[in-house]
Amino acid sequence: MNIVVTIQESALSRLSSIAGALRAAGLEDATLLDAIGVITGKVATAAKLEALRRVDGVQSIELAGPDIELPDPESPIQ
Amino acid sequence: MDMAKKDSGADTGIASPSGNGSGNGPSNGASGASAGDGLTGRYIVAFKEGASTAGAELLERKVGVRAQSVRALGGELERGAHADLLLDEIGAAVFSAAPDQRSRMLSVAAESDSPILIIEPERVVYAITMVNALTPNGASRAGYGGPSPFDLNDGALLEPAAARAQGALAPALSVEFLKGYRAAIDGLLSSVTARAPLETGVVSATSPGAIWALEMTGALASRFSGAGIKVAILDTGMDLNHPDFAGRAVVTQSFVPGEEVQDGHGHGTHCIGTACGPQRPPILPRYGVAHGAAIFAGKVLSNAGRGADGGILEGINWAVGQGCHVISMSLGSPVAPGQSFSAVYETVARRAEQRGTVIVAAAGNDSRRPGQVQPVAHPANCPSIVAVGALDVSQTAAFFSNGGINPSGGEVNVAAPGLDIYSTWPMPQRYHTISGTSMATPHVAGILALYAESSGLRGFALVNAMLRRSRSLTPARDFGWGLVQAT
Repeated sequence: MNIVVTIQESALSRLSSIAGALRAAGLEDATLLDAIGVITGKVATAAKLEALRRVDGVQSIELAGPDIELPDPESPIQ
Repeated sequence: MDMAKKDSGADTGIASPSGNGSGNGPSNGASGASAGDGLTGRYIVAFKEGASTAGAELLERKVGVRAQSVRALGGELERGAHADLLLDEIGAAVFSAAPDQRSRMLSVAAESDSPILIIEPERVVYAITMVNALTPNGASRAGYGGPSPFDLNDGALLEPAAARAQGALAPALSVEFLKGYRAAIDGLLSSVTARAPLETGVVSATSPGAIWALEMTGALASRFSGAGIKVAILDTGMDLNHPDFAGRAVVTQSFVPGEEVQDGHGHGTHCIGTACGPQRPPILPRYGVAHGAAIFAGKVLSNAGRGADGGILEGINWAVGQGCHVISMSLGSPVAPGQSFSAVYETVARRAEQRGTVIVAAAGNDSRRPGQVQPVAHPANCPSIVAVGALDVSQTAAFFSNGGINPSGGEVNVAAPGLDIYSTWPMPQRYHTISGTSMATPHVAGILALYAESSGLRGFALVNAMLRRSRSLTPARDFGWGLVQAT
């Protein structure tokens, strides 16, 4: 499951160490988005989410939204 | 959108137009020929020589009009039936088109290499007794007595009373007449297409060197260019070989696994052209707003036009980290009435704003006005993201443009040209005319760059300064503060 972890404003300076804690708790393929204070990644099962939520500095965890799609290039409305 | 809080004087959100919050202005119907005013509500199309079959096929495939070949029908065509017809012998077609088909039709006609010569609303012609009219130079001409919209001759026709006195014949729709009709269309068209082929419906009537959108938004008149301002377009990338951007500062990054920034779709190149196209493109008309801005092309949508949530967030992160002042996102997904905005995107937009980056996004194209107005799409529906609606050359809401159906961020904040917008497209096509709130969005992004240069403002202060200068249009549900203005 693709997830988006929003880090607390007050914890943004500790982004790297928080990412480490998240990995230890089961986050895979973590990508640190330091300018906006978000970490994206994957978890194998929904059960892992609870452990991730308990990591200090985490504000929220959400499932990644569905893919966005444009009309095909031939379409006159884009 | 949030009300701007006034306690500290700082702009802490995107302002709402005062007094317009729930305004119900006159509703604007979709543009299109309608019965009345001497029009039948149907359209006449003339095809280029030899291009009738291609033209009919195009009408069916791209506009959804199925014109039956008169030749194929043989004797089975019922007189008086309002069927959609392909008039094979003269290379023309007559058909009905719904408002949403009309704009598709105009786009198809405006493309270079289009098999369509001209499209006109069908006029009501009244049967007048057939006369053998004498033109001033004595030549005889058979036809309907009375003025024809396609009458290019100087010849005056006899008055109907005089014609009757001459023992006029009953009117007949002859092949002769229709051939003359087509000759008139050919003549009319060659007089308007001595210039570049894409200009019909695209170029400003008063400033033919630029598209109407640049004139209507005041971008053409601005002495600012976005110099020193960084504009990020998060989309399908960019055609890095496009001659119109030769020598231009462009920073690129792909966030689509397995794909380069090079635009294999077209959408990204088109949006970049609108936001940042050159002041003097090698081929007129001019189509771009912030011709001096630094372009940051972030590919977050694949060449197939698909974008993962994570990739979009990465693109935003990159643009903020690069110090971009404006992020333009002509992308989104539909939202249901009553559905709330994404907490993640709202948080991200607020953090970006704090770092001096504002985000502009398309309101979405899910509506089919006048019957159906859908809510502003995600992520434009976030309170801290500027939601842009689309309007046409008559300042009517584009038929597809979403409206402020949902509260708390779900409003349209501003509107910009989004119907029949000409801009760059990947080579070799080079340019393309398309429609969408995707096209409206980069107009606003480019204009924000002009304001950023001229005012030095950033973040919500920049956005609100732009909104307050918009030309008010109602209802606010469709236009927000109104038509964006650069000056």
